[in-house]
Amino acid sequence: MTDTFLLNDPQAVARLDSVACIFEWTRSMSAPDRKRFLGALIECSDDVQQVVVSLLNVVKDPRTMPAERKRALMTIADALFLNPCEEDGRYGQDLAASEPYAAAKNAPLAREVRKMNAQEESFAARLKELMTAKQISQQELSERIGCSQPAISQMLNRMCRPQKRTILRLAEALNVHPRELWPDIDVADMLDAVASFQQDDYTMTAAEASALADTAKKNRPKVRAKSLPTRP
Amino acid sequence: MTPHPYQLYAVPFTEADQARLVGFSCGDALWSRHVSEWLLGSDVLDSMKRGTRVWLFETAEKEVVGFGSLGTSRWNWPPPDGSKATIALIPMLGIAERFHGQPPDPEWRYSRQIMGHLIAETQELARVGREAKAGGPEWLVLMVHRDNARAIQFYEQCGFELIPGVERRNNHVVMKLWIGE
Repeated sequence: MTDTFLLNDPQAVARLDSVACIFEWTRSMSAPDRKRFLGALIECSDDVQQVVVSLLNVVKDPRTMPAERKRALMTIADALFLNPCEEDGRYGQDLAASEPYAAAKNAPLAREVRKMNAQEESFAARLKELMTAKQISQQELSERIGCSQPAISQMLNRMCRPQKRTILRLAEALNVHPRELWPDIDVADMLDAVASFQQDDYTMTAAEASALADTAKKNRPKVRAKSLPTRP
Repeated sequence: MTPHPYQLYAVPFTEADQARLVGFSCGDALWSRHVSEWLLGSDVLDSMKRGTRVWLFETAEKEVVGFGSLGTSRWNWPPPDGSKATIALIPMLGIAERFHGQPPDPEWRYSRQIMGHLIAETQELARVGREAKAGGPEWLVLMVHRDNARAIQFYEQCGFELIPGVERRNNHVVMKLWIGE
């Protein structure tokens, strides 16, 4: 590294933000964990570093949905060996290769990975189709949604998984409904709604409280309440 | 005595069931597509981890007609009270599309058998809570998409009432049923 790099590159200064965010985040870890995490991050390839930083941005974004956040953290853990793969346990294993490893050990995750692969494929195909139909270049689209052209290229080549807000921005830029790019976007939202309905520690709204406090207004079952038999 | 041909059986759901349920679909409406995703994905397992019970409802021929779930949640009364209330809730239930409205005989309608089962199980939960003086649930609640008129009508026929002025995430309304004494 040279002084000119520090003095003349305004982008380098902008990048400080993500470095600061990583240091801040690791402060909640125990000292050995922090050392292990930062060591792994420095040792892994540039590509993996870039992915981890972008995933950390997803994690800290307040608009990220819980399922997305969980997936991002899982991917980070995998990318940085925190769950070392049994085959070689080396640091900084390839991100794309880590998915099958993790999936092989976890059946629901395997299903999730399969599903997401299929979704990515149809997403890339739809995006390509829409860009052709609307005669928009990768460069143009990247400017409209405020990301880099290589990022668009990666999406089209199924090299990276778009986040929900990227899908929303793409849909806006292409003037289509998000569903046209990612048919399951409604499903993800509905599942999030269901998960939040079950949350403990939910504070009732005034309307809910008055309806549930009013035990004088009992509405009783109108169907025959009867447990069904188990198999004969 | 031979059982009625439309009698459903409640089979506790386990993760191993997911493999044989591939293809289970409750329909393509906005409020139907995620129902099978819930049962076939990780959501059902997450929910079971926090105590939700899940049943598959099968015919005598072991055909899966639908599924239902029942859990409890601890809700806070709004401030200044802030104390907790145990609420019974139905995180998710669904009937495979080809069994919607089946059988024609309303007394044996699958949807009513399933809801009858979930209500009976909740009443049992409430009774145990009362006897243990552990503050069991007095209300059973569920969430339904506000545009899903058919489901809302069915829940009303079962005795549920819409809680007015409440809208949860993604345009869902909440309905309640008294299951206390």
